[in-house]
Amino acid sequence: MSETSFLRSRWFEDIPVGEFHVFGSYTSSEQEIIEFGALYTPQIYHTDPEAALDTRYRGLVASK
Amino acid sequence: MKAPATLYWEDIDTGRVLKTGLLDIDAPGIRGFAEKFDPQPYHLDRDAAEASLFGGLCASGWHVSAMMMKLISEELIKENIALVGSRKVPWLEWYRPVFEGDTISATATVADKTEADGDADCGLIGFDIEVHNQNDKKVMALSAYLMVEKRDAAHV
Repeated sequence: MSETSFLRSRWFEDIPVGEFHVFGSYTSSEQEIIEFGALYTPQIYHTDPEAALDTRYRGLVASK
Repeated sequence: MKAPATLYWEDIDTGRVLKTGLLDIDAPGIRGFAEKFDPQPYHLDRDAAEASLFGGLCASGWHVSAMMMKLISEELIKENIALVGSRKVPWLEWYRPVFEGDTISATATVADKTEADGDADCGLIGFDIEVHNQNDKKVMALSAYLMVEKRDAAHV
């Protein structure tokens, strides 16, 4: 990690109410859903694509 | 060991308390989560963290939330509660950093039971959840409403 990425250039006083940002997009993947599910939320609808078909979600869903 | 009978929404009374196991927090776990989801220097780099307001490498609050859910999930599975998913978190606060070397645990108290709007086959259980560190200091608390299957819906 380079030194510059740790620089802080904008302070509390610099950020007005109403400022908004449009963020990039993020695409979920089966692998990431399973990895996260196995680590933190081991319900079968997060970890097992086959068993998830038999749940109300009818497939693998990300944890929330 | 025989699995306990499934607990449906109707079976879970207000005041019921779930106490979780313990979870040790280590630097690779803190960094691994932060690299993917919350790449702040005080979650990634020990030197930068020591120079920061936190004074040491500490976990992302979202990482603490995920670890809380792991601890709670283990209890929900152990008690065979018919969990469908999470519906809402009306509030959540972080009180203290969780540092490498810390050990956390959680308690979840059933504080509220309501209908799930738009879902007749499940109800909502509102848990008041607190996460503590090894010194019994509260690091995080939240209110989380989980969707739990209703008994009748499970047998149609």
